[in-house]
Amino acid sequence: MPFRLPQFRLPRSKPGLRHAGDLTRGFTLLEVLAAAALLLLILAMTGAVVNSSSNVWRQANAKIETFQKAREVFEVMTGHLAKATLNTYWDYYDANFTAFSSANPAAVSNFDPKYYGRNSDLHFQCGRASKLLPQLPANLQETSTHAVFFVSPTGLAADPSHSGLSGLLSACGYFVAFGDDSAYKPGIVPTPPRHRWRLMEVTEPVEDLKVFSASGSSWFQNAVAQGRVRPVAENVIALIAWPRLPPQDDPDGTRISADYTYDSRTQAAWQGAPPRQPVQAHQLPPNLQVTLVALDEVSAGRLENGDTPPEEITAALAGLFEDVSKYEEDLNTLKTRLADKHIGFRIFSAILSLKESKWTES
Amino acid sequence: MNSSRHAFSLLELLAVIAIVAVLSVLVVPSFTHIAAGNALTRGAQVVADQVQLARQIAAGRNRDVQVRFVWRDDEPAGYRGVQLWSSSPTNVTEYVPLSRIAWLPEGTLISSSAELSPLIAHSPIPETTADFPGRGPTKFCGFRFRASGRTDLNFNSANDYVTVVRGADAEATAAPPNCAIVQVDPVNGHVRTYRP
Repeated sequence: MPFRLPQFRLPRSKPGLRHAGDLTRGFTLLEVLAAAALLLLILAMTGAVVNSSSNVWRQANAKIETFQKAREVFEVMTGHLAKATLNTYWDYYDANFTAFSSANPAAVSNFDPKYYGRNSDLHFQCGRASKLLPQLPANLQETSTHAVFFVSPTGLAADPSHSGLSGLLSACGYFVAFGDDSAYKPGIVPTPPRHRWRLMEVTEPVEDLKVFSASGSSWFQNAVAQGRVRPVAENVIALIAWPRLPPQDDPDGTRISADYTYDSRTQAAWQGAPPRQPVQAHQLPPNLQVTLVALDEVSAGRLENGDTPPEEITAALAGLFEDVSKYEEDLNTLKTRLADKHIGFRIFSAILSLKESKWTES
Repeated sequence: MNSSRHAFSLLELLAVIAIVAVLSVLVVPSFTHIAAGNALTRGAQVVADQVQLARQIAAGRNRDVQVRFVWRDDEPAGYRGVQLWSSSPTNVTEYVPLSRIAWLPEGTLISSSAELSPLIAHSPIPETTADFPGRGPTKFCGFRFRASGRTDLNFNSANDYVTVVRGADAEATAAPPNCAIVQVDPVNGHVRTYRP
């Protein structure tokens, strides 16, 4: 007898009628379509969730990165500022208040000393950027708030054989300007120019230091006008430099300067009897309170408006930081104005002590 | 009525397989594209991180730090690693590595063409071969960070950059559509990354 496989019979159902035990039946096309549609729906939903969370992550990251960069630059900048030097010395002054060392060489034999006074060949100046920098390079359109220019021993030399001389003086300065990055980015980068507010740095190598031959502010004005500046941080909209005495001696911070301006080459007249040198002349302020306001990249990207500075920022800074007694008030106004426009920002502030300052008011 | 009780026919199955095949043909290249783009971004990050680390170490330890681009001969051959070197604390005439070699992700390298990487083509430490611990004689070039945080590169700031490209673009002399550019500011050592 041939071997027979045991016959296994599935329960039969009537055609068109469905019940759970019907195993011979495949899925109908409708069922497969419904399942596929459901799968797609679930995929789309998870995709949307993943997408939105990655967007949030990217935005948060952009914020953190901008602020990290701003903080890092703030540290570097304050480090350079703290080393600012004037190398002040005592000099003879004649009846016209001309210093012996700046007198015309022909007049030296007839020089009639009458007073003692401070003198220096170097320069420290801060104040409104728009007044200090009458001319900007082509790629910068506008400056904002304050600028500070000084001479610092950075050891910066264009000639590599001078690299061992770490005490070489160079011209330094910081200001905030709006412009595009076409002058700084590599030529092969095809992306369109980025218009942003940036913290700019002036660093002239020792070979180009003109502070000795120029009598006024042209040593840094020319460097800026000829475009010898470099961006150090993007999305910085304000730099506030406030020369002041230590807070315990000068709680209001108004004794050195009432309007944030300071010029160690001031042309102000000697006053009193006997005449006294103006207090800012040829000395460094003992302290400098430096404040930076940085935006996050998300807000800055949203405000981008081609080669014109975003109106929101111009409006937020209008009329602020002109009077030191209103510093706190102005800062609060700025915070409110930026927050009203939903602009993310952060403020960095520190009071630096300029180590080379030997402050005297007598 | 009876047809509803059939499983899929061969024709139906073939149609489904064909659709899946067409879809995957469309989707897979874009995935590999994304993966390659990611590798380039990471490669640029590796270079930027090492340069920033070099600047910090130079300022923090008050000594020169060399940034060396390390050559690898296996495919794709090119500068594929970055390592920091500084003078030995016990013997200033001898340079020792400060860290392990940071390799770029697989399949990416730093272009050596003068157009894409002027920093390498005109590097202050010209291309030379030296003994690398654990690797033997290795070709490298590079530049230095001074203790003040500046570099020994020329003042011409816009030209101090390297480009991270895919292995296939190793010989390219114009920027390939997918590349990452790392620019070093010669005066203050700040690093900027561009991702066209």
